Amino acid sequence: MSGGVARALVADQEVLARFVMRASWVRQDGTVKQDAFMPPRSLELSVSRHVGRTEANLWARGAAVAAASERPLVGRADIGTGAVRAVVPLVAVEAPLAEDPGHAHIVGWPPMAQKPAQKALAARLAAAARFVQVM
Amino acid sequence: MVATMLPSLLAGTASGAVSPEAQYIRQESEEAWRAFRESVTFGLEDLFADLWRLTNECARPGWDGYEAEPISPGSIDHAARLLRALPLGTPRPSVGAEPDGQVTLEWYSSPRRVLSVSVSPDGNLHYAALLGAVQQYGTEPFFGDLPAAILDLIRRVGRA
Repeated sequence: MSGGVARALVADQEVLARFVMRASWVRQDGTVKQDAFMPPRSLELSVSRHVGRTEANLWARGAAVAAASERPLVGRADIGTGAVRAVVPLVAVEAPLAEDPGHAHIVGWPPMAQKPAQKALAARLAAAARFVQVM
Repeated sequence: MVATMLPSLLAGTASGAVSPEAQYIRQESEEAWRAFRESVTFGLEDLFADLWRLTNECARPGWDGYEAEPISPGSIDHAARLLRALPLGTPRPSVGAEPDGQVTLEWYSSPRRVLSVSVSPDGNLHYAALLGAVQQYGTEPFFGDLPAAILDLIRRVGRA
């Protein structure tokens, strides 16, 4: 949690990656389900910024995320930061980690008690995302 | 069919091992287990197999690589009841899971015609539908029959 300190917004021109460890999050036609974009109880949805990374470096980050879950990496769901901001009131903010300086959060979610509203926003994010299968 | 599937589902992993977490979830999901054994009668064995697979694949915290919570036994139970309550002829959903540990059922025609239902451990059905440019979302209690509002959305998702 930010502890009340404002975090920098990620620029609209950037692309964010949500790594996918469940094949059931990807439909047969290659589109992404809203399950992949539902927030955790912290209301901070983790993503990784593409900027400053090679494709290999990005996949290496995905492999590290998968290793932590002991599940195989299936791929990633890419979404533009501008597309996130179009899903009001969500925004992407910088949230660098020691192991991932390009880490960011999608925040602005309704509280957990308003789950249907969360689902509605996640559905719009998923509709704007593009799935990239792991190579 | 059920006898053939049971050993592999009980195994849960390629090594044949079932994690302690998965065992706990299955023990707590008595209704789901009973429903699974009966599922062949309704032709829903593949959906119940997907539901049962969640108990192994989503048993541990962080199963999504991030902050996911273990799949809820109560959610599994109510999801099994909901699958059995689907009227004959209802389009089949796909089964999934969300980071808060709830089972999801999705009816899908295209990226702009989709309904997702989350099954909460207390039996509430939280849903969100995209119907072209229109969104509809809310909560319906589940008392054993599929709520009319959700059945209506399932039908609308399937329309061109």
